[in-house]
Amino acid sequence: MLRMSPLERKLQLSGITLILGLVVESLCLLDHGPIAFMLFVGLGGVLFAVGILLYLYSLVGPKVEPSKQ
Amino acid sequence: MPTFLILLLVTFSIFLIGVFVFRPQITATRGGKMTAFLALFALPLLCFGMGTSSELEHAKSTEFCLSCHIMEPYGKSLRVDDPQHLAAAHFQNHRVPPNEACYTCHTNYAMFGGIKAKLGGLRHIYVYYLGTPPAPENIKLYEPYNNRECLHCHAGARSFEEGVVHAADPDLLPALKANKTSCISSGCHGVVHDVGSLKDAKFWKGGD
Repeated sequence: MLRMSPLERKLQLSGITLILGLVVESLCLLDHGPIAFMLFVGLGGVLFAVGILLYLYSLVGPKVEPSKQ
Repeated sequence: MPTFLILLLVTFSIFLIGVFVFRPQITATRGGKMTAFLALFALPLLCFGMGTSSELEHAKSTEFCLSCHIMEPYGKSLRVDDPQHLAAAHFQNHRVPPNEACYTCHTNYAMFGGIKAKLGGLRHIYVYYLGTPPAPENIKLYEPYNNRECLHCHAGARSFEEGVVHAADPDLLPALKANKTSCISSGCHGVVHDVGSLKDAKFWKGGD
């Protein structure tokens, strides 16, 4: 199994969080009730923020070359 | 923007992000880094922005406001067949957009009024799901209704400025404009949402 660098691990985590945020967003867009609105703003917003911040953090973190396949 | 277009963009973003989740090594190349920026920063921001805009727009709809069970009598009061009922007359004669009837009258036409309306909505949701909601007929406004909201549309209108009752007393119009006399005071437009007497009311069947 290939070993992943910390940068790749952060990118993966960021991606997974963002995918969760996007799934929450799609579900909320399909249902237009107040609960969907709250979930969109609360849960969706947090997931988006965490995902994007993780990605930005991976850019400014210690420079590590991504592993070669 | 139509919901399906946003969903299309969301699906594309998920696919693109999925590539980086399963193959993070591709960020080793310059092109991979640029695509990562698009997939993990620009597209999610765009999706969230468009989704928020769509949700906020939908939150203005009459359907959204009336989706809480407690608001049902207020929705019915919009269909009372009596021109003396202020909210019903506005709704049925399209003096307010029927699909945004609640928001049009209950938002605050001052700076940050839209934001205050949304915060008020969050408070409603909190009380509805986590607090003890009052009976529909006991629901009160947080603060007395400000004439500013009426004047947003009616100020300058001939029917308002030169109306027989409004013009009869020279002190009335200045008092209304200064919010010293309420438009919805008893004897004027005092019947707004009379949810307590709906069982005896006749309803307008049109407008669907």
